[in-house]
Amino acid sequence: MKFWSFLPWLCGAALLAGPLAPQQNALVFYRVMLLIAVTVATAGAFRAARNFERGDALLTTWAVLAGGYVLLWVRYVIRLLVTLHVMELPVTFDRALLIVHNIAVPVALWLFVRAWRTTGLAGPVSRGAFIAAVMGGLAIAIAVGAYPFLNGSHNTDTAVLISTLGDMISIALIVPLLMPALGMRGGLLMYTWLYLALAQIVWLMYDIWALMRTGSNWSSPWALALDQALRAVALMYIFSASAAQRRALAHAADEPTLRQSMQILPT
Amino acid sequence: MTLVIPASSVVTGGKSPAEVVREHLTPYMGAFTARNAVQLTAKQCFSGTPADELTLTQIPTLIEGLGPMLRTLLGKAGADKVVGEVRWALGL
Repeated sequence: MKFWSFLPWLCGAALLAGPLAPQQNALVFYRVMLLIAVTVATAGAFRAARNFERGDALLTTWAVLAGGYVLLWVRYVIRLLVTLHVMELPVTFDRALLIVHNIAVPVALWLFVRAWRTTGLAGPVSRGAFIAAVMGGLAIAIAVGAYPFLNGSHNTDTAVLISTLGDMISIALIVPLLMPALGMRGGLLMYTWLYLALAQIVWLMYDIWALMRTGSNWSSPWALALDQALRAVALMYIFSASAAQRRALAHAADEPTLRQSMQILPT
Repeated sequence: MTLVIPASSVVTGGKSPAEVVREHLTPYMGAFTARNAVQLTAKQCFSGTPADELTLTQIPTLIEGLGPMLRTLLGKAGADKVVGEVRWALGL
């Protein structure tokens, strides 16, 4: 599991090689790397969904998450083709993809939180501490989401508004996603929830970095590289979460049973 | 021909049945939540009876009570497998 924890950061570090290339090549490099990351994340989410049966709560959850990332995959393919001058950016379609993706992902994350809550299991902290932590997460989400609008650094495009709202909801879900992870510490299922929360934490870092860049007019190649690297890390944590989910289910399916371990071979 | 040694007497030796259930849940959900889940379900199914006071004959009801939670976290196939393991370990 340690490998799945570090893999996203290794992928992110690879994107920091971008500034070493000429600007146009660096853009293509970022697009290709992000496309690979989103492909891996989407495939992982679909494979996790396939491990569940109809009627299982997490089937819907993983399927919605995978669907959301398919839309991002299409968006990244278009961006790559635009960067390669194969086509013009279909602005309306691109915005529609952005809107639906930013609805699907928070819905999926909320379904994960709801799945945990339906188990009726308490978290590792008191109810008061949980509410305080959720409120803290909400405050951060509102601060990060609202600042660009108050600051006038964002336009009021519907797609951007919905994207920001989606980001805010996802950020607000970090604490509720971390609670099951803390509760299940030491267990295989912990990693699924932990990596989902880490993905959102990295998206939060990305949002903060984007705000800092906007506010400071940082446009150096390294600033852009860090921007792209954080995206790749967040995407790869979705893959890590799906890998952790599959590993837990595989453990249940393939665990050598006591029966088998106690069987005496035929004589 | 395969000779199978009955497990219940071997595996549970010295442990309460609830402890055996906990041990089977721990690899998936960790010790804290495994203990929490068994304790909570025991209290719900047996009017507040602590899990460690449950007898072997009460364990099928406990396992049934744990079913929805296991199915949510592990899916039907995974939950069935874990429940099967617990039943076999306890000779049920």
